[in-house]
Amino acid sequence: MAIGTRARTVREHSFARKPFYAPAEIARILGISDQTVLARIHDRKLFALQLGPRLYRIPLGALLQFLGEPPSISRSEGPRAVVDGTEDDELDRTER
Amino acid sequence: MPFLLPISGFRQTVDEIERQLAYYGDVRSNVQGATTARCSVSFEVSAPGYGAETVAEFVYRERYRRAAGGWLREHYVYEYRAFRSRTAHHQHGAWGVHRHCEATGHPSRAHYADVERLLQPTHEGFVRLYERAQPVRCFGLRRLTRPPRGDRGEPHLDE
Repeated sequence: MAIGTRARTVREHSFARKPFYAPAEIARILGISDQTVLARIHDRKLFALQLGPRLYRIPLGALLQFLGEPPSISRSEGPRAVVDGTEDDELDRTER
Repeated sequence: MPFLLPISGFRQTVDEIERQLAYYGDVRSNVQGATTARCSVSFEVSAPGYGAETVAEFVYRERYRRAAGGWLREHYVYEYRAFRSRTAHHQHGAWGVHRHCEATGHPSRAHYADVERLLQPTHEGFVRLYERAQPVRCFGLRRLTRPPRGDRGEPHLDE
């Protein structure tokens, strides 16, 4: 069955987790053709970092989301008004 | 160049940035004071995340004040850290727009000349560094010796 016509899950596929994958690696992991991977990139179903006219790298999070895993986002919000000066100090803490 | 974010699109912009960052790792986002006259937004990304060991971190913080027509960006901190090296683009405090760069094994508090940056293009530059899986290199930067005098002062370059 062509990829994209049924629900995909991470558990169906075995692969080492690493920062980036080439389209050919994605094709092997998913058991589909390189052309299908490129088609999914071009129709924006699979996010890829474009490094050149025909050079793509797929980050781990994009692969997992393609396989149905939710984005890993932890949100927090607060009503604290930002006060002049103190925020500068807070930003400066990131400087080493 | 002031950067103005429409008030009506603020939440959507935050959501879109979160969504884009989550392709690269675990995202922690925080919004403070969105209903006040000043607000701050931060995004911290541990990459590659999703249960894999962290090899790089992206940090994006911005501070806005409410102005006619939207949120006017006042300050920002955009940083990429990997292999015990770091590159950063900042606008805050007495130094105004500046950058930092620390190669592996060469910690430094030096401030370098920079141009004003936006979050998403800066992130695109950082992910290209991340994809190369190499430490940050610090070549061709112009060191600033002290903060500019006043709001209109030019940075002092170390010749």
